[in-house]
Amino acid sequence: MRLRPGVWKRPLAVVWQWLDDRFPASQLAQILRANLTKPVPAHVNWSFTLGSALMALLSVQLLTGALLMIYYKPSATEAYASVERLITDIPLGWLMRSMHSWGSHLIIIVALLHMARVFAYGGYKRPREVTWIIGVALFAIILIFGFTGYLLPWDQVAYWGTVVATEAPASMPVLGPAIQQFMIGGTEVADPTLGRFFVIHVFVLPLALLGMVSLHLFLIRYQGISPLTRTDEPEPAGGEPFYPNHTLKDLTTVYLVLGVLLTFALLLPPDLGDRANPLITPLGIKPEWYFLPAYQLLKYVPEVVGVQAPPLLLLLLVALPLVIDISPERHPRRRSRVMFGMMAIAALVTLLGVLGHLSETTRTIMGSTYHFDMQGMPHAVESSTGDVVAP
Amino acid sequence: MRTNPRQTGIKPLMCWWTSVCLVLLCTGTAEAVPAVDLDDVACALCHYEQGEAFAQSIHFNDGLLLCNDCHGGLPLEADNELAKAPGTGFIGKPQRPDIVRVCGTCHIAAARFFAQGAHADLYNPQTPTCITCHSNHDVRAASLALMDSTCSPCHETKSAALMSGLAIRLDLQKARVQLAAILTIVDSLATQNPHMTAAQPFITAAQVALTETDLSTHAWSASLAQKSLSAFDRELEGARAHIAQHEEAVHRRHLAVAFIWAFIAVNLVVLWVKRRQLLS
Repeated sequence: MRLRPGVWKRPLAVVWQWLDDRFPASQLAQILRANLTKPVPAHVNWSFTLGSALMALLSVQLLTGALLMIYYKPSATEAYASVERLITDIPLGWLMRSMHSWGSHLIIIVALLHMARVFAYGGYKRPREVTWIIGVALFAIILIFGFTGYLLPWDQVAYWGTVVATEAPASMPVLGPAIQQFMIGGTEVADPTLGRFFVIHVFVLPLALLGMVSLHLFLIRYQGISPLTRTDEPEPAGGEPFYPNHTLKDLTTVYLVLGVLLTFALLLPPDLGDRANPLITPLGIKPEWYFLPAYQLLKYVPEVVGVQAPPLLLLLLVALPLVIDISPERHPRRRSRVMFGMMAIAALVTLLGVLGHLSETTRTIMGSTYHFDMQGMPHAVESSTGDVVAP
Repeated sequence: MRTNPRQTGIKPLMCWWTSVCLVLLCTGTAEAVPAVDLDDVACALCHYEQGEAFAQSIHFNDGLLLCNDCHGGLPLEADNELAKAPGTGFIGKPQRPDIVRVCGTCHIAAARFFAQGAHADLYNPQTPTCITCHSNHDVRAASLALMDSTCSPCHETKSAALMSGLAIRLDLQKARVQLAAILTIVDSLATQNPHMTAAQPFITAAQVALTETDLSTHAWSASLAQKSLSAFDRELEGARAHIAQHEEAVHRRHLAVAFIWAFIAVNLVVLWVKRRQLLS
């Protein structure tokens, strides 16, 4: 290898040249630099930094998940004890678990906000349909992460929450029983279920996530950030570069989101309930908040219809740029019909979630006590004297 | 347990029955019930007043004892002769010196303390025996309220003995309130800090010491009560130390959060300055 004169003064340059002699590293770096410095449109604001926050949260999940895996034992007889040991004996084990748990909630919130932003700015429109579809798939993967991770501590709430959740798919036509059988690996939630959920949670999903996130990011960089102009007009050039200008904004949001995550993780570590007992069903079993709308819907409609609603909603999101909203307009004010339709669906889903949260509880609202029945309908609680109970 | 609808035959039925039996086994001991129907107890046919009183007792309602446990004999035998026949252990009404022995068969610790106390003169009709305070057939559960109603009939108001007993009773009440308060704190903190489970052995030991104090009231000795109350205080102090550790940990976590946000604030300022530089 023949080195340029004076190259010994810069050791990194030596390494770089060594690489460059073997494959076109400089050309690749040039392409990367050109993509990173691509200008972002003028309308790009702080809401466009949510994707980076999501990336940061997913990285935290991978890191804390890997650390938790060192001590976690995926068997029905050892899982609970291993989690108990992790949070009591292992230095900062409780913090890792707390960050992983709170991270899973924050990821759903940030992902929903990110998707709402992309939807509002028409970011899914031509030529970015594939980026959107991959994003929807990523959201589904995040939900499955939450579902499979919920069982792993093997405590009562986790066990019975999974029992309820795995009952529902059985009522799906044709494939329902087979899907349930595949999910739980037997006739009831037990050791085989835990093994499956563990492998899906720590191997299958992370692999799928990494692949799809890479593709998602590549497409975003390759196609650039979506402008607000019509799809049949040329995309305007100009604006400040993505790197370093916009990345500084991204970094700001990342700092804030990580601050929120650490605050919750430090001050409100999640509880570990009693060890799972298949013979004792605890009262008031409910799924995680992001599954509450689906859980509540099952109470109003036949199970066979209810279980198909969440996948149908995801299919609706996939169909959005392909079938539902194919007009060339990106600006939200010129897409009022689809905006209103999606807001109505979002409001309905939120309402179902709130009703699910309130159902089968007793609460005091505006000085009166109400019991919310299974359907989430309030009933005033009367005292023995017939008066409505006031606090 | 879920059963496969395609599965037929004995297997699903067995699974179902096994589940039912297991559930019954787990729930059957939740509430104690009388072991036998009092109508089946032959003794109560003649001794009906005692039978009715016994029906109210903790011994019967917790399903623990029948007539024979104190009197011997065969309580379910309808034949009077056979029920009291030699070899059945029938002793009839226990005599005064025997009462503590009969009760002490089960209540060993209580009898041991009673023997050390001022009431332990078994042949003096002026001193009480177990049944003076706890009654004989309608045996009442020991409680602080029982002390209030059973001491004053014998001891004059403001007498030294009554005042000494009252002091022990007040100490006991105070200890129970302290234990309840610590239990509430530990239970509420256990959800925030899993390390709080380490306080549980101290609480269990404090509960044992308090039970020992309860039992020591049978001796009505201030020094004996004080001895077990000291053990109680020591254990409670151990639990309090864990609570203090938790409070310290919470304080450290608050400090960590403050430090994190200070670090973030500094970084945000640096980012803002950098961005201003880029824009200018």
